[in-house]
Amino acid sequence: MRRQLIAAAAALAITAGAAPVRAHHAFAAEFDAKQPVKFEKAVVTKMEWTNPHTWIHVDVTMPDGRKEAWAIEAGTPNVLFRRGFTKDALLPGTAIVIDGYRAKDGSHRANGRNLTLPNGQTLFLGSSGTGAPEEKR
Amino acid sequence: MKISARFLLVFALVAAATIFALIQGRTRALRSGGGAEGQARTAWGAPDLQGIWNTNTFVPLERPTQYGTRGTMTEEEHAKALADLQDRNKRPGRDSRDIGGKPGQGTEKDVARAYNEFWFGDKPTKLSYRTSMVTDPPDGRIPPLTPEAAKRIADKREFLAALLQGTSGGRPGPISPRRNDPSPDYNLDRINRSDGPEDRGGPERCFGDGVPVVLGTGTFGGVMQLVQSPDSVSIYYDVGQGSGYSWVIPITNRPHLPANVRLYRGDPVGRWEGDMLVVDVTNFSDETNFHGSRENLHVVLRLKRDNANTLSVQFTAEDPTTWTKPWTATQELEKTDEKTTLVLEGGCHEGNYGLTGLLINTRAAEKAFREGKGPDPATQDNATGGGDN
Repeated sequence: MRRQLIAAAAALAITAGAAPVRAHHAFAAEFDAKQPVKFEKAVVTKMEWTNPHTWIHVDVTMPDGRKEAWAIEAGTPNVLFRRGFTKDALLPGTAIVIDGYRAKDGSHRANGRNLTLPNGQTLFLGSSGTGAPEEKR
Repeated sequence: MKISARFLLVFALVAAATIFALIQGRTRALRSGGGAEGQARTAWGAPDLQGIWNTNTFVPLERPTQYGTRGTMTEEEHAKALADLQDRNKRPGRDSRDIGGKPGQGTEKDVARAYNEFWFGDKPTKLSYRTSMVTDPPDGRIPPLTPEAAKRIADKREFLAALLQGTSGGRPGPISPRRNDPSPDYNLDRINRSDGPEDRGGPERCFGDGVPVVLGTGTFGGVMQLVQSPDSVSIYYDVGQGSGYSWVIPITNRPHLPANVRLYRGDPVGRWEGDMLVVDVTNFSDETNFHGSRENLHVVLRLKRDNANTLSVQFTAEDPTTWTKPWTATQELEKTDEKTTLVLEGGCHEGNYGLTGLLINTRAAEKAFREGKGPDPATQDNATGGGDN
């Protein structure tokens, strides 16, 4: 038993540092976790394939029919590409469902957490239970 | 002098055979790309280290103490460690974790973790039998800090902790009286304050990685592309979120730059020792931070092709003002190609709306607090979560 415990501790120790730590920025300084937003009818107007984040610009049809322009912060280009996400995936005119957290300053900017393409494919990672790619593995 | 026709014929045959053998040998060498005997050569005869390199096999930088001075695991240890790694990969990025022994769900740090989990990308699935990248000292661990460095680093940690005091990510207590103090060092950490860009961490400010680069595991762990010319070797590191950079190493016997010239990535001077590229790097600046070593860092990098598909990248780091002795670590990188591992341009300044966003939104939060519409940002954890802190 003692031997098993030692082996378990050793195994844990060797994998403890496995996650790469190259995260970019502190979420809470910019976005408000208490202001989630979800846009069921968003249409891509422009993609900015820039580091450190790509930005998805969308026109959103609000419940009262008004249109609002929003900018959604998304993943870094190299991560998106390495997951098979190409420049053709979000061409202008693509209808998407997107949710995230609004910027603290009340502007029409948000941090994207989940994005659903017209074919039902979900991108990005949210909390557990979203069916995001990480959780499907 | 008269040369006989028979002599000329023999000479011609020997010369032809020699040239043929040389061509054959060269072709074999180029094809094999192997170690010493079959070392691939560039057109100008230098050892050919060129290619796209990364690693898909996890090796921890420092050795867990359980392994003592053993550099490799047993079969049993490896099987257990691999199973544990795979179990760990199945866990979601949040919800299951505690912060300070309490459920962390919903705190600022938890949300930051969840938000950042996506950037981590693929998780490593292969585990090396090597117990650490550090090969010297024999315990596989970075040597102890000098008392001077320990105090310097502890002072900074205390400053960071003071500014987190009273938040969900910090110790209990009121807003620290140190709230408006300057950082005790040239700051590269995430301070829980956004009074100016210098309060924010290096990656948030697009500093890019430093020297030496230790590549992470898997596609998001990073990739390096090495190209050579007769008088220089250039390594492009595609790492992080635009943290990549191109590092040009001159092959030269010039001395290092004068001591008053200090550079974030130091002054690299390269030379060939047989089939090994040796790069001596000094003249770092106070903006440098490699495991606590700042401007006095001295790195000797050694790159060698172990075989056609393996590039050994070893570095020795020394700094008598930081560590009690030098230490050496080795990464074994695997050859890959542009098809499987796309190398993308780094550099994030042009698109870094994030930094202005951090500052603007903190001002907005402060304004909301003054108007009685929101919490005091000083009482919130706007710094931690997601790996950097």
